[in-house]
Amino acid sequence: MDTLPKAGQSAAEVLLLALLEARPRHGYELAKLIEQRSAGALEFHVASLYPLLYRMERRGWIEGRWVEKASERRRRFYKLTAIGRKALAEQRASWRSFLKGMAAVALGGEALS
Amino acid sequence: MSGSADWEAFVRERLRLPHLAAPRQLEVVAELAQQLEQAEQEALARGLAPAAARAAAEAQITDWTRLARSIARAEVPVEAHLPSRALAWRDAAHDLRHALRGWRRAPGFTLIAVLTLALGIGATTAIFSWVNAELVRALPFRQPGQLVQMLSTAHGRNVSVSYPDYLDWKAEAGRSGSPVAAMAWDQTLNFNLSGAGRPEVVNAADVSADFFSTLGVAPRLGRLFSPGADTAAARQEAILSDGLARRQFGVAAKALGQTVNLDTRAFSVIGVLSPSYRDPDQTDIYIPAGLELKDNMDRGDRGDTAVIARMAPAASLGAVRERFTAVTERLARSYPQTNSDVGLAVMPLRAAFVGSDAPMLWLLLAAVGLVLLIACANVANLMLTRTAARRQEWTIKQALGADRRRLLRQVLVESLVLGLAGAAGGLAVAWAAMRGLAALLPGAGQADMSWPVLGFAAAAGLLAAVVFGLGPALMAGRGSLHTASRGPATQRGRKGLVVVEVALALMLAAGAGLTIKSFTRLMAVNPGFQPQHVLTWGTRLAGPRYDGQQPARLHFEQQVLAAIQTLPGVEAAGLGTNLPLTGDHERSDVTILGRPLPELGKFPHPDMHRVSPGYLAAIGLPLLYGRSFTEQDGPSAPKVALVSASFAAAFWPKGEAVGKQFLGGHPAPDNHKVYTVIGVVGDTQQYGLNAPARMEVYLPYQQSPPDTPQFVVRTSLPPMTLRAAVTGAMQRVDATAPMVDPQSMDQVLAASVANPHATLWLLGIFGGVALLLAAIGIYGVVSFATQQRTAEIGIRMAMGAGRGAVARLIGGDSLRLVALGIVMGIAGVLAMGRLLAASLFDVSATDPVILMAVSALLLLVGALATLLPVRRAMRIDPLNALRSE
Repeated sequence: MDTLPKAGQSAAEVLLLALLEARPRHGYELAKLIEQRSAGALEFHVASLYPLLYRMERRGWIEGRWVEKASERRRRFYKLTAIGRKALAEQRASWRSFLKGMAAVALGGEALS
Repeated sequence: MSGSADWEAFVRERLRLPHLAAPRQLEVVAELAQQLEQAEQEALARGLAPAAARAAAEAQITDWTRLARSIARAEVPVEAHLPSRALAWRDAAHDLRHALRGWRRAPGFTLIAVLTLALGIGATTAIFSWVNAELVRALPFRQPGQLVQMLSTAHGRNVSVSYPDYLDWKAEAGRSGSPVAAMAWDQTLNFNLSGAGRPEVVNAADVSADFFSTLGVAPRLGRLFSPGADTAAARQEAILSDGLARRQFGVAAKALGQTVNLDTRAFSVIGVLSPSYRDPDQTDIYIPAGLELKDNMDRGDRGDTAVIARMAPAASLGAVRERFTAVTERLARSYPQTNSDVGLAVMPLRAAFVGSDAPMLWLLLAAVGLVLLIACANVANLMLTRTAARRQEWTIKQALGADRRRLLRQVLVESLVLGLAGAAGGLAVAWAAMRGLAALLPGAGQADMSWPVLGFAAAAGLLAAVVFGLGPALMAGRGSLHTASRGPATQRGRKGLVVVEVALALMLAAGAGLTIKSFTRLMAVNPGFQPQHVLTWGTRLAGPRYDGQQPARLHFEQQVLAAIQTLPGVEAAGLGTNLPLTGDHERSDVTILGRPLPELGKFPHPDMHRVSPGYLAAIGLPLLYGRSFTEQDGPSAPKVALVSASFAAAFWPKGEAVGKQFLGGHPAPDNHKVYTVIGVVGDTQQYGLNAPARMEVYLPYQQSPPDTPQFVVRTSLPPMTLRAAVTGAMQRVDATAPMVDPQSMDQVLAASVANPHATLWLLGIFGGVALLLAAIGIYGVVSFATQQRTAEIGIRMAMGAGRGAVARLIGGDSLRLVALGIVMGIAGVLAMGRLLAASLFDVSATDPVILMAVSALLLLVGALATLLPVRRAMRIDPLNALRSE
């Protein structure tokens, strides 16, 4: 576990948690959303998305469930658990302070709104 | 167009997940297949041709092996399910791997840090091994803390115990409520040992039957003395040290049951001690005290004896002192003739084992500890530089939710890995240093790589790791981008380290300087004789042929002198007793005739020598006035004496010594030992170059031939080359006469200053290493600061600052630190002066010349270390500097 992959992984985790906060979603949707919301700035490879989801599931942050709807294909939907919600809150707080610090240094002291 | 079944087959073919349970495998395959299928459909919807759409979907996952690995890792049971101990091990293993990888990535940094630590830890460990051997290591006895040595005192000085006094003490020890559980007798004797291997003079001891059981020592082979050994009926049995048994019989086991002769008595060997056994007198052979009873029954006779006692389990030194002081007071009342002034001294037995070099050892340990501290400061500095560079990594990690404690621990683990590597390297350095030390000082040869020494090295490594790891670890813990790498705290820390390093280096350099000056002064002391080109050796005349047979001793000595005088290369030959610088001595009260009688206890108490006429020429002792001895000063001639300059100055200061008389001993009706002074000779340094000369008296050997003469030969050849010739000459006179300790007087001189000499070398080396490390430290900090200030310097130059101004800016900063360090170092020297003073001769521990010289030296070192970074600063191109910012 080196520095940057870890940082990247951690960032991805918080993004996924945030996306699942509103409602359960399946893997393909999550990949698409990340791409759209970050206007393509963050591209998520399938090869890293699924292992990450599995890891978060193992950790108990999210829970996957197969859902079959009429006229639709069987999909695996992930939803946020209580533990996941708590993890999201913590990660948000630390990201906020990180970004604030980044702003203070990188942007010459302009506070982040 | 592919269906979902196709895609599942596609995925299953490529994704190998052997470690996953089958149902879970199916789930993963289905999910990924779905992902790809959906990607394909989307591509088709965008209007791509089917083949292109499929290719686009397939391109979503290129490295299947890696994906399988990632999934397998993600599917590992999470930490929460692991028992916490396993978790801790996993974390530790991870930290360790991380640390090792980090060090591998920075080989230059790692090498310098490990070498610096190895040097510091190695030097410290080597000195510690020596301190451990001499001062710390437990005595090789059972529960050594309970053992005490009991001595008598007379006129406030420790003296030996007489056997009758010992018996009275022992009786008291046996009474109820005694704070002493066991008490034993030990008297040092010397014998000529023969009858086995090569004859030699041995250190022997007659001991009470319970001597070894009091110490708690069992023989390695054979048995100990039986209780009857304290009586006059004791059998002639002996217990040998392992060393003597090997020397005489090749292997220790062969000694048992053999017979050895001590002088003229035959002893059968009943036991051999273990190789680890040692005693302060280096006794080679023990015999029963009962055999020496007839010589020991005089209460006023105090040989070279020691009484050893084992305290009862709960007893204290004070209790022993109190109980037995009462006994000595009772004895003083009962036997006023012999015991009126006799008191008691009780000390831990360890005190008898610790030589006079304890202050030197502690000084060296303190000095080498400073070297280790400097090494730590340097590594801490390196770590801080690295920390600055890794600052970003830590800040990001922390912002992403990495545990602060975990980060702190990671930094500490990195330090520990470094510290242990340093300790391992340190052991290699220590091993080499111990060999060097043994060559420098034979006494240090006892030091070895024992467990405590290994433990010490490891502890030094760990401690060093904590010391140099703490700063970076705390900074990692603080972890906020507000204190950036160039932040004032870090810089202050680095500058503080430089100041400390300079201060410590100054203290060491001052110690080395003072020792050099002290040693120079010491070597400038005139020993009172000319040690060059002189060979000396001793012998011991014992047995019925010589015991009490003065003419026989004289005959032997005259024959040997005559024989060696004719050897080629011999310029002068003589014999004496108690050679200068050895500290050996015989003393006696004398009464100066024609002067008022002094009070008892205030009689002149000079060192007494017995010498042959050739002695003065052989050893190079100058005759100041009067005449020397001749062969005519024989047994029946009038008693004559030479006195030393300080003796003459004390009683006949106007040069009128010749013809004056003194009495050997105190006036008594039957004392007819009246000596007439015939000449005055120079003073010698009997007790070492750093000890004041005492009054000395020389008597002609013919008038009382010594039984342990010391032969002295002045030669034009290298002294030791004469060894075989003189041995031959002596053994032709009497083949049984042992050759004792042949050495040159230069060797005697060197041995007498071995401790100061070793101190000089070691402190010199430590001082040099300290200066080198300090220079590296200063260089590191200044060049880092210069690099950090590149932009600032660029701006200053762009605004017209000249190179001189830049040099002053950078150099001035650095030299201010050095100056501060020098001031602190001088304060340290002033504070620690007392520790050093004990090892200095004729030099004050705060000698201003030395302090000024080392200050100048440190300043010079600081300037040199600053030079390179300053030159780099002066070459800064303002444009480049600003652009890079």
